[in-house]
Amino acid sequence: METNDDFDRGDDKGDGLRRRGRKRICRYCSDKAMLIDYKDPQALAYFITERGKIVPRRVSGACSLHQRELAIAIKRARIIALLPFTMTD
Amino acid sequence: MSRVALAQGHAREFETIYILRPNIEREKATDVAGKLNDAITTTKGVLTTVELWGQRRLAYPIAKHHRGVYVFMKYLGKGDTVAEIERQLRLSDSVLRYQTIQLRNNVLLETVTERADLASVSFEVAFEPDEPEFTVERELGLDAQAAERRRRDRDTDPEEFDGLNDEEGAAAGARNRWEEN
Repeated sequence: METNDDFDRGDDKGDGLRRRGRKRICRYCSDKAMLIDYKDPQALAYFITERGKIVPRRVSGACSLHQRELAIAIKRARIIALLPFTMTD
Repeated sequence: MSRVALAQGHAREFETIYILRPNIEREKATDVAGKLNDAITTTKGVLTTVELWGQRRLAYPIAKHHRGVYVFMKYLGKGDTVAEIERQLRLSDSVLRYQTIQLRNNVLLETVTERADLASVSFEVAFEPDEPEFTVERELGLDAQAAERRRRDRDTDPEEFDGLNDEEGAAAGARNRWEEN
């Protein structure tokens, strides 16, 4: 990850806000043609970890709306065995 | 989901995916599809899409099966259509799992065309001759092809390779690892 002293030091004591790294952009907002579909496990695979957990918004950069839609899609895909509930290595 | 009563001539659009056992006979698969078809027609639903995805690897084993034949269908109807379809899927022993999703709520029935040609699904593609059937003997590695199949499966999915009762397979796997390196 890129280190940026201005952002990382937390010397803005006033509001306690810290920005780490650069701001990520929601994939589904930047490309409106992309639809969230539970039948497409390859597209959803980007939003799950190696263990099969749903990646949090702060990591994936997905916006609130699309994160909620993604979570539903991933859970649907899990039920029909397109995505795993858990994975172990 | 909305529970508002539907207007006259309107229906809801649903899609159902069901997974059949990988070693299912063709007649049984067509039998299930026929029963679902009857369920739609008797409840005055309209079938719009049927897709056979064929045999796919399951993300996790269901009823000790690692593969399954996926069938996807879209239809219009009301709650009783879904209830009847799911009842039939529950009754059938060949169905490993099913899931129904509501896609749209108030769809005017006149805007969709019924696809009578979809009434009979062809299960030709689902049964590729080179696809090994799932049997207890093979899973335990008592079959000559099991070692080869396990080795192939492990390449995509390492955690499945437990090597229980499968010394031959494990040895073959170790040999292969050695050769790859």
